[in-house]
Amino acid sequence: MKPGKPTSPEAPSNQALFFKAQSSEALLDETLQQALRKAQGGFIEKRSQAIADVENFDSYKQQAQLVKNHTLDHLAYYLTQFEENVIKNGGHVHWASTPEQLNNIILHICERRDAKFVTKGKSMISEEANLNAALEAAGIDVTETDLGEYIIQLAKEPPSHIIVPAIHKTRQQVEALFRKTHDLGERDLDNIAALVDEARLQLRQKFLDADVGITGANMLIADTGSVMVVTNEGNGDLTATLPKVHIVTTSIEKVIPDLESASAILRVLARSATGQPITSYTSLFSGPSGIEDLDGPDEFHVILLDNQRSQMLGSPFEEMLKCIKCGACLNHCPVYSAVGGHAYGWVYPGPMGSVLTPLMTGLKQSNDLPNASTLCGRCEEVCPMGIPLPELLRQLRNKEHEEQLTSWKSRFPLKGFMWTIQHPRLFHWITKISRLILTNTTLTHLLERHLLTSWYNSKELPKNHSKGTFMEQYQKSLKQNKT
Amino acid sequence: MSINLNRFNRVNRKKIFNRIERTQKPAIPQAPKRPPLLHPQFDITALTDIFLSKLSASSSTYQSIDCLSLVPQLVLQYAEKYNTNKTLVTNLDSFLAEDELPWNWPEELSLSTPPATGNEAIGLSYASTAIAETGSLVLSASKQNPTTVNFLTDHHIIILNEQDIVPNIESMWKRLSLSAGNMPRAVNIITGPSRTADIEQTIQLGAHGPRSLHLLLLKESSDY
Repeated sequence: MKPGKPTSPEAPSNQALFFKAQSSEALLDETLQQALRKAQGGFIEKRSQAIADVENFDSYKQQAQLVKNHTLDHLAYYLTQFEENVIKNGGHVHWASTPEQLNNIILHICERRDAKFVTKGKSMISEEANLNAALEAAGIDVTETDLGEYIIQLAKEPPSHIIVPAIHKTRQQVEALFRKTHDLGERDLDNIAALVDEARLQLRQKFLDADVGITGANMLIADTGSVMVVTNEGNGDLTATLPKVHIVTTSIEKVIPDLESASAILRVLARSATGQPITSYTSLFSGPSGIEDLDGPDEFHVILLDNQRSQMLGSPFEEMLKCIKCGACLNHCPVYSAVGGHAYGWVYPGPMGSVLTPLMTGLKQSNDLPNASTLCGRCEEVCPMGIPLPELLRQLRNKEHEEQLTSWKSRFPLKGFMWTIQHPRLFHWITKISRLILTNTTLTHLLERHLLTSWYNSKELPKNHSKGTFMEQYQKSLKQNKT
Repeated sequence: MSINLNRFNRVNRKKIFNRIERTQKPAIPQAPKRPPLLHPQFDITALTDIFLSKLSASSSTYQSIDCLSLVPQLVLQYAEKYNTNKTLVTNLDSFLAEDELPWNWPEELSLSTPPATGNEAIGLSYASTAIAETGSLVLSASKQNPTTVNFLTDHHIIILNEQDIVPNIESMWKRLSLSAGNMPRAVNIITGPSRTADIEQTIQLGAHGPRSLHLLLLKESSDY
């Protein structure tokens, strides 16, 4: 496997192992940096405005966290209740332990309904399963209908952000993609409105032609057996309404007790994600259409994916199951803002991705990710669910060290350091010597220019060492106090 | 490819539940008690004002009416304002006939019944309730309000009775009184027209659904 972003959906999707190489590449990619610069700040500002607009956002966060904590404590109960009620509403529930099983269930339904055309609303679960590749391999024409997802599908790239998948693309790149894909001759595509309109026209026909519609879900309501889908474009609703079959790809931790609980989560979701009080469309789907209905599908399926989530339950990483995929931690992360989402190499980027990817795909396949953070703590601060992301990253780092997945370059000095600090005389002697070296300009010059050049490229040593080491100063002050 | 989906499901379901129940007490037969949740409170006397200010913030427009018989003329005016073709899809005619109030549609408007096909410029629906907290209109899928009317038209006009405005999201659910086995296929909470910010984070209205959303608010005191 060569480092670099996957160039086609068929390419191996997990490139998380190559974070370092990919982030170096990203930093040098002028177009990407231009796109990231444009995105920066917008989300942060909108979110803080939306939070300032309500009386007490902290209390909203508390309510939402209460819901999730309670549900995770009784997950088996609520999943059972959800399943019962979906069936009561005339729908079907399927269970998938692995992403491959999820794909197999969908292929099975598509085959039975003789489906040729599939439209999709945004679903991160289907990204976990690389579903599009599986459908295409079975000869099914699949179209992403969220504008951002559509753009990256045309570009044959994975999403680089969980709510704005094409954040890394500039307007000019989108224009070039549309000109290449849509055979529409000479036309003016010089502004964003024209681009959105062209996508609207192209996708409208896809919606109308589709045999099967696949959407994700933001929440699963146990008490009513419903699926809640939150969008701004309305593509999720068209996908769920026009085709004869509606399939929901979702995961087990998205279940919550009832609609009152959903309200608490809605209050923090859009504010944290896009800075809106609520998105344009919040929709509840509860089964196939009834005899009275004039539109809607005649089949309704919910596929619940596990993919390691049940293993996280009861583990030190259980908190991660509270994630509502708002993307606030990505928007506020200094590392994400610098390198973009593709560098992370798998479905979920940013701080939440650096925790989820190792847990879902194995630490061995992604051992740079827990280190792809400055642990500055902004992610935890903005997380509406209060997930302690820095602490979870730290725990993954510990695990890495224990499992010897780190390089000797970090393990060996750590061992040396541990041994040294357990021998105080030696330690004090070394600090004394170091201070003498650092106060000598000829020696520091030698270090800076010749010995530790790459280290000095990004860091600086403290300059003022004139007063002695900590212990020297401490003993001096003790003596002074006595006299 | 042929898998026995039922068996496949049973096996997977069992495996997943075993893993979940490894960490927690097995599913108790009676419902666990969810902790009580706080709901944001609003000034009940100012609900309409709060609602309309939130509605406007979502790029929707509104006008107050005191009589339903005005609707056909207002729909025509709206079509003229947006210079669209004068095609309308709605099922409210049959619905409102129960109130013994047949509408007089202007000749310029060509009317069709749902489902919407994507060729109609304007959709007309009736919201059963609205949320002051968010400025949202709530439409449950039914014979009167088929979902395609909400999403396949270019411009969406929604009628709402002023007394159907409720304070917060929770009170809206309460008003709809939904229960499993008795659910509308879809409930749409609509807050403004369709929008996207997927290209360079620039908000653009009319991504896939309606480009504009207009509310006709039937005032409380009105006699209809």
